[in-house]
Amino acid sequence: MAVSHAGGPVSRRKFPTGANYVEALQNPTLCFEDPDLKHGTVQQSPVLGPKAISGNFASVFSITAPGGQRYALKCFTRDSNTLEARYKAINKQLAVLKPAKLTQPWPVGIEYLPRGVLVAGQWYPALKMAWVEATNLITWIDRNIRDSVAVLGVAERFAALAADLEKLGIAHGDLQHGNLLVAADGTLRLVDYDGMYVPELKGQGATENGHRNYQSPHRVSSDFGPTMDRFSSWIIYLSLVAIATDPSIWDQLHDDQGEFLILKEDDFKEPKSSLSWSLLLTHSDASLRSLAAQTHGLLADAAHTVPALSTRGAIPTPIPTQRPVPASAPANGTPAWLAGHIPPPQNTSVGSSTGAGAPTGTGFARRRTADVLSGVFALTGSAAPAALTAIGVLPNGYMAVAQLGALLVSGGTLHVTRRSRPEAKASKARLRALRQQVATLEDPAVAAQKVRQEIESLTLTGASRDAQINRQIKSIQSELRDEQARIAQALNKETNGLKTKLSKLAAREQKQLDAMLVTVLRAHVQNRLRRHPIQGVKKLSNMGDGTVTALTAAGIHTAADFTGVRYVQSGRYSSRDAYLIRSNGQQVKIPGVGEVRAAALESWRTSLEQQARKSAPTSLSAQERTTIRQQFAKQKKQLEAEITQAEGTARRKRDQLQQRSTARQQQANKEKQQHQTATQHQRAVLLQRQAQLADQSTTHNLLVTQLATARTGHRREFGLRRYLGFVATGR
Amino acid sequence: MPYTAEISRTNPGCFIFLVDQSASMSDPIGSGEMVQQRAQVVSDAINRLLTELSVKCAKEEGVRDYFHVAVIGYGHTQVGSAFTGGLAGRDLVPLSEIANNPARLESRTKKVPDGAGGLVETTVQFPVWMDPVTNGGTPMTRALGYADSLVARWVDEHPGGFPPIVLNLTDGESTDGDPTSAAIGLASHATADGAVLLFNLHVSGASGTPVTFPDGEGDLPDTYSRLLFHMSSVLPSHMRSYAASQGHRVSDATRGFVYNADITSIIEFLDIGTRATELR
Ligand SMILES: Nc1ncnc2c1ncn2[C@@H]1O[C@H](COP(=O)(O)OP(=O)(O)OP(=O)(O)O)[C@@H](O)[C@H]1O
Ligand SMILES: [Mg+2]
Repeated sequence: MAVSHAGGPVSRRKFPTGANYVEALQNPTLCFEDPDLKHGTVQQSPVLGPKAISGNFASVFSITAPGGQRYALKCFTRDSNTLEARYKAINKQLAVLKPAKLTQPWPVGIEYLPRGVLVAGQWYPALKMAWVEATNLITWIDRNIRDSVAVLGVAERFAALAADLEKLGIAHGDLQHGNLLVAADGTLRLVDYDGMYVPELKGQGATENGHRNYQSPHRVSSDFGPTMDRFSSWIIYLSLVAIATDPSIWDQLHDDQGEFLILKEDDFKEPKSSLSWSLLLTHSDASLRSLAAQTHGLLADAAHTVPALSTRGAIPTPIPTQRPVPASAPANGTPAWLAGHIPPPQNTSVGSSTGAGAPTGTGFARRRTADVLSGVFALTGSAAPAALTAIGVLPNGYMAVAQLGALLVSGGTLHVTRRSRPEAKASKARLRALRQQVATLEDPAVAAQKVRQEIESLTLTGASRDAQINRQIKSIQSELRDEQARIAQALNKETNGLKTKLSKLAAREQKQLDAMLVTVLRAHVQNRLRRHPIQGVKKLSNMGDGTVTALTAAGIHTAADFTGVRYVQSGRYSSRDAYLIRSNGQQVKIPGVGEVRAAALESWRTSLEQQARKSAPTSLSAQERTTIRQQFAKQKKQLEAEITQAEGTARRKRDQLQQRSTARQQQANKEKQQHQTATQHQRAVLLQRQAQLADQSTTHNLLVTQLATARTGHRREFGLRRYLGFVATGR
Repeated sequence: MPYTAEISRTNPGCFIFLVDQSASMSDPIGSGEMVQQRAQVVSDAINRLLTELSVKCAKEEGVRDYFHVAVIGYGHTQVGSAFTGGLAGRDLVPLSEIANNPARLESRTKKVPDGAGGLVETTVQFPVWMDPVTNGGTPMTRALGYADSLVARWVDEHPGGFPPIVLNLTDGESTDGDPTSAAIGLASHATADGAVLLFNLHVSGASGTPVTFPDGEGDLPDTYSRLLFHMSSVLPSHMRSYAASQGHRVSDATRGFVYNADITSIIEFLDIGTRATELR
């Protein structure tokens, strides 16, 4: 809440400061009258007593009444004579709002307490409000930025809130992150009604102009009215839509501790040098681009001519930000073939991507355990050459297989010659196939692990590179800001001196004109005095030829040759010597000219001078004036030229800086996109490989089981062979 | 327009308090029951200013670093940090650290009006960051030079920020020469948003009524106060409006100078954060 400085000579009292309230609230029973507050518990800060949340016009405290009800108490730090009347009107309006007619429960119950807080013996008003359990918009975004659907939800709810206000003919006056709170269910709450317009306040002036990072640079006090939220609504809506569309915009344009979303005062005042606008207006998402362009188009408008927020055509298609998830995440990492064995799949994206690379996968996927055996054989054929190669490079496997082979051969001979058992033949073949298969697939677990690591490190490097580029973009922006400030700083330094000189020029000119007039006057007087030879003093009493001769001898020929007399105490008491002062300042003692004669000489000269002054010009001639004027006009022009030049140089520097920064930012973003594309590509390849390995590894496990079963069978067969051998050799 | 830069965590402001700790500061001020040592008056003022600044910058999650603050004492032969307790020895400290680290909380009892014509005794907690110290001479020129070097670095690192504010609290009797040229030098540092603001609080035992934000030296009682008045910066226009809204008579020539009066209101003049500065 602000005091209108434009207001008339209203007497205002000095309100308590935030710290005054903090001190008073240390004793609730003394400082409150309202029973809820008087016996309530004031929330404390870690060190400094009652915990204040301060703005520029008030400090807000949280107080829990004995009944458990929590209140927000707003204590005003600046006086306003209209406070009570405004709040009455606002309260009346809020009281008749029907919750069912609102898109969400955004209003907060308020009660104006004329005797709110007693500070140093004086009662001050306060605003008692229901405490809103919600998070301010920036904090909420920080926590939810990766959930684009939620952010978009808030954008839509914000637009709905703005539409509610429009419909009711109400305006808040200071829409900004600190006054927009997000409740746990994602609906919005609106706090701080100090600057609110309700129809009953029509015709009044604004009490404040709102938050600088949300308001039109053209907003004026007289914009107080139902349309004053429009500009800020567009800005907030655009910001929310932008970061829902592309969360990296938040990383790039929002300052960690900045009191704005993604656009701020400078972006409104000097859109041309705004890196933020250039980023939004050239974004790859077409609907974001067009919303940005639409909003950008409002910057030049007078604040009250901004149209109401419209979401038509602006609702973007939210890009689902679910990125391919590393294999370690169970739901997405499950090989597609297991689909029949696990609870219904939640995400089919991985399944479809592996499907393309591993056509057999689909076949396996539909198989039940009972079918797998035939699948193994089908797979064996295609994998056999690879299996042989693998065996070749693995000595252990080779040995095992060679041994097994030898045994099989001898066993086979027995079969053929003695019993001719087709089951044994099949069994042998099966065993061999299984062994080969197992050998071939010995790698998958290791390989899969490696692929998993590769994907993880790809994700990590990708994220850290993105973060690095985001940081880089941010630092480009802060460097730009600092550099621009430095240019302004240097310019000010350079031009301040020039401007001071310039501002003193007029005074100097006048002084010179005055001095000139004095000179002209003196010249005129001298000129006239020169026309009076010193012989003229002979007319005076007691002055004769002797005196005149003495004067002439001392170089005084006319009245112009001396300017006055100086008397000096001589050695003898009560008598003074007289010195004539010559026009060059020299003092001369004239023989025979004592105090009396000197006085006569002086008054002779003075009367001549007075006469001369009468005929003197009272102003300068046009020509004399023009000379001086021209001289100063030249100086002025010169100074102005220097200033203009300095400003021009500064502007050029700024423009160059601007262009460099824009280019650097674009370059950084381009690099980021290129990296992202490359990463996506690499990831797709790895995911495909991962799916293949997953299939192979499952197959491997099944084969191992099969091999174990087959081994048991073989042992039986070897037992028979041994038995037959015994029969044959007799041992 | 100068003095309109945003004061925020990304564009923090800089506050430097210069505190006279010379022997003359042990002289009393006031009369009757209200007699206090000058140094006590000044250290109370500083402690109150630091509380005020902390409360003004307190938000939901705690005190924000909207300012970096130094409290520099000058007296005896040294010029340097006047913090006691955990912050002792430090120059510019982010405000949140200040808020969280007073040296101690003093319980002060005082009688306050109960609103019904009576008086009641209450106890309040008074945070303390610096204690009164009185010792030796008054090297004000050197203190201004010290501030000068802090300010020079700050301005270099925050070229677009709100210009640093230096608040000198003294009884005015510099012992290391006329501080005027040091003051001029200090105030010649500038960010793109304007020149450094130098304000003075003159605590004096000399008679004369308290004066707050004068626009001429007419009401000032002695040469010290006039000297400090001339060293003080003219209030920027938005500060002037606040002074006016608090009932002070102001003009274009109003300076940030206070004689024997409360200067805490200077904090109220700061538009922290984000307001669109002036009503247009
Ligand atoms: N009813 C409420 N419930 C919970 N928190 C509140 C409530 N009212 C205000 N607050 C909190 O206190 C902060 C400051 O309140 P408010 O905006 O009313 O003060 P202000 O002095 O007008 O501030 P500013 O100058 O920043 O607009 C809000 O940002 C919000 O975090
Ligand atoms: Mg607010």
